[in-house]
Amino acid sequence: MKTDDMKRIFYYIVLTLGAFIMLIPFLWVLSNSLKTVDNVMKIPPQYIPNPITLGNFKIVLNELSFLKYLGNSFFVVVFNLVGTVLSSALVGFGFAKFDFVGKKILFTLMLATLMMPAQVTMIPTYFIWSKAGMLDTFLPLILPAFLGQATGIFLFNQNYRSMPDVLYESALIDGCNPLRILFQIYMPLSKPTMMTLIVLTFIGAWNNTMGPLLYLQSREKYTLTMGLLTLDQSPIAAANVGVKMAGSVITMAPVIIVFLFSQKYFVQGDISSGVKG
Amino acid sequence: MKKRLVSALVMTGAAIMLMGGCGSSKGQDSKATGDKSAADSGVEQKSEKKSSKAVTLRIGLPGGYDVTNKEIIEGFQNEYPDIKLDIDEAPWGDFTKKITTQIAGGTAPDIWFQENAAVLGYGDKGAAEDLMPYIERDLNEDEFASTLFSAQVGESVWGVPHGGNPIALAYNKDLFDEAGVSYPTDDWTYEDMIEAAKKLTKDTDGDGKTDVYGLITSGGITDGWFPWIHSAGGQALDETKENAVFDDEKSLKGITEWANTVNTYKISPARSTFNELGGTHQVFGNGMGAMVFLQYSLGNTVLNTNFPDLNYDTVKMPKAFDGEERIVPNVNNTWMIFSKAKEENKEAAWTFLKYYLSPEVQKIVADSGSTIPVNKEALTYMENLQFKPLNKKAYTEGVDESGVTLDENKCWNEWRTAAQPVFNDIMDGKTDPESGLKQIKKSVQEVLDENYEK
Amino acid sequence: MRKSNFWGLLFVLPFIIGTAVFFVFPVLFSGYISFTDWDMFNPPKFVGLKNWINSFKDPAFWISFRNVLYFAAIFVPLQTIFALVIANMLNQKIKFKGGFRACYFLPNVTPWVAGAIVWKFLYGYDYGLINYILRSLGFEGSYWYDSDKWWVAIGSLALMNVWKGMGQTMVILLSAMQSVPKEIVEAATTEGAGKAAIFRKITVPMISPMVFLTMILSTISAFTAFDVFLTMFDVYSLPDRNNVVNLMVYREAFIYGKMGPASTLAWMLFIIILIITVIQRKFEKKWVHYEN
Repeated sequence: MKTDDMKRIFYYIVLTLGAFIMLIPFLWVLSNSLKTVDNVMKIPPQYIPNPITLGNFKIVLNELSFLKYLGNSFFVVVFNLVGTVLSSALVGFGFAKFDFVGKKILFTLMLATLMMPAQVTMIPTYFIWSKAGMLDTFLPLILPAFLGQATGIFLFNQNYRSMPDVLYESALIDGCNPLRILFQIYMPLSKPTMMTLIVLTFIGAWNNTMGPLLYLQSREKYTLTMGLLTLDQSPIAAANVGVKMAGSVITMAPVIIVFLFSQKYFVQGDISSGVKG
Repeated sequence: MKKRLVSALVMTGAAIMLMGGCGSSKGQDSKATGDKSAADSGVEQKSEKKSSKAVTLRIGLPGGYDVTNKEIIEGFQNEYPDIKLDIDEAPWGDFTKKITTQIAGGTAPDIWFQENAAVLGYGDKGAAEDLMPYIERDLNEDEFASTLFSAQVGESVWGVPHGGNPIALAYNKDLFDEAGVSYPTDDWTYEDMIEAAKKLTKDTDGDGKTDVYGLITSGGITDGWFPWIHSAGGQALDETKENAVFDDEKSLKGITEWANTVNTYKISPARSTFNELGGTHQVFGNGMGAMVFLQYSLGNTVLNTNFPDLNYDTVKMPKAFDGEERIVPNVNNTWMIFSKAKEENKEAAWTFLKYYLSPEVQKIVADSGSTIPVNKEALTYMENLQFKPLNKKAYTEGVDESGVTLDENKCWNEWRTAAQPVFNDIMDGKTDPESGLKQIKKSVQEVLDENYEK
Repeated sequence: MRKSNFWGLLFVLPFIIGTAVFFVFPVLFSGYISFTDWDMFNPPKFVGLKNWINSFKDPAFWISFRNVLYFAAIFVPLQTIFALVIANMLNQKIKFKGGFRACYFLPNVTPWVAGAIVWKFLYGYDYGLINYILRSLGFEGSYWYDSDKWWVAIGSLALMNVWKGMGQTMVILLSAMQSVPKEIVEAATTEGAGKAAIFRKITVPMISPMVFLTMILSTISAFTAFDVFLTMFDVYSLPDRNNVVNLMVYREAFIYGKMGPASTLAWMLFIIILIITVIQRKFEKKWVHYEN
């Protein structure tokens, strides 16, 4: 009993210390976002803002159209999520449960897609979209998600591989076709994996800067990341770090919220392996 | 089941996107929100002096309206309604990535602006339109400062200034008053500056660490080693800009003094110190340094905003050690016209540039406080603007009389990136100036040879 | 596992299309460019092996390669171990799980721009927090990301990358741990197994596919790391000893405008990653446990 308690206390200490280290940067950003402009660059730095002001946030949301960018980001990301989860589950299942011609090559190819630095594929990909006439639309940011994404495929692949084949066999015997087996049996069992993928994809899509930079032309279409980049790099806004920080906080907030909500699905042990009997 | 809901979503989504996708822009035409296609419907001319053809001009604006005043764009639309402006924006720092991709992908705008060195590179490749014929045809060169030709290479002019950003010597009046030193003048030499700095460097609280530095020497090319190389009459590149100089006696003297301010005279903080504090201008703004080479944009946009009570002013860059020449480094952003744009678009682009260079518009540029115009009338106007620094002639006259680029050529980024790390080591005292400069000359020459195919 | 060309290919069809268009084509295109000189404006000029030979002869390339290997060697083990340890702790009966999880995840979500500002503040020589703590404990401060010893500079950035990426890895591993069927753990506890034994004999084997996955992903992400370098190092004053391959690619392509050499470098990086991943997969057969 005692050692268990001591272990627990130890855990708490380590976790809290670690959490603090993780949090420092965020706290610093938050603190700066609440400072007035002449306090931001003071040396020595002011840790707790005094006076506290919400002015930076007002500027960012109203004058700098961050509210609109928020909407655009959501639009792009939601479609991205749907596409990614669907296609990743499909393809991951294919890899996990079937042997087919060219499987090894395709799998290696999938790994390879993660390895190529973006700068290189950027220009030819841009060619493709420009010839297709889809510049200044959201399509280049959404369509590829429906065609499979390596990380997602990996996750589902590993997940399905570790689920017993017996499930599949028995369902076949019951007369289901493989598509139904995937959607009605396997997918409900992979909720943690799905949630993981949703969170990861949400972050990736939300923070994506390269895509919007290249493919969005007019300001009304800007996503939050573009708004933030514009804010960060505007030579005039260089003076007002507080506003930049407020923009950062607004950009980060939705992802954090999504993450917190998704916590429910990480609940332990509601996976019954369904193999009993 | 959840699956059905998702499929429904997907179908709807796909439908929406397909509709949106087909109706939207294709590369060259008006942006998606534009429903007026006045460009091709032959809008009637308002008066004779406007261009006679209806054209859609695609214009790239890095930094959007933060950098180019909206008033200017809207003013143009009003005066020239037949030229429809299609604006392609991108954040300032990432603009290079985007424009490179666009050029490679064949969707570059008709006109945009970038750092002068970048435009020189485009000129060399044939991507920038030679504006010399247009200038000779339509402009009166007397109305402009010499920096109008910052993008000239040989007989070709690859662009005209969007705005200039020169350097001047800024000083903190309060610190000078406290130390009882008289303010800098336009006649000061580098020697005068160093001597004054020695008197201004103080340890005010007796803890053994300097609290106020007489001078905040910078480590970069624009306000650091480039002017100091010239401070004794030395050179970085030669006049052809195809050969490296760097290690002649005069340059050696200049750079030795540059490093001395930090390591020997100790009148200037170390590089890591001012980097940590956000840059030399931030240190100056916090009252920790009495003098600094200040780029014009940093005065109004940073110092005035973050340190509104700072009591400072500027004088022209100091004269060389021997009291002879002075140089005023100037960094331009330059407008250029894409050489592969359609003929009528090029003409429309030039109309925009003429408009931009007109006195009224140049005054708007001056009002921004982040860049200096090139039209002489506007320069005079600017000298009377009341935001700090009050003595703007330090910049305007300075750049007109002695303005130079930072030896910009088509491979500027490459050679200066090769030189910078070694300059850092010299400034940090890790390499002595003589061997450092020899090394720099060698590396830079390698880059130049590669690019100029010797 | 069944042998079925029809179903197998059908399921992976979206991926085949996507890869062909958005990967194979661009990669082949960039491969072609690596044999040319292309200024992005005029048509590419074929120059044969010139770029490849130049890269091999360039000491700066080999240094950047060494740096990225070193970066990965520090980053991957650290991140994996930290993530495992924290995930395990969070898998116990602890309160505030959600709060802790959010804290560890936060850096992952912070834009690099903001992260860099803060870390420069932490790592600063004169005024940085880390040196401040060290000095108050009687030690001397040190240069970190701006050190002139490459292994300190690169190592500092590897630590930053761990800070940023650990949350993601932890989330994946935690969800893997949650997928360990409760009944098995309960059965083992009833039979008298202690927590450590359960961890070793049940949890670890069952989550090993995921651990392995995260290791591969971490390795790849270490080799393609970019933003951390771009924001912490000034690309216009980068000494060769601190460069990494991916940053070189960016510099050649977008700052020098030389797409030919940039593509060559990118391909060399790609081949290196490919080799390392293949090696890792060979180990997978030995270490990873799959249900059959």
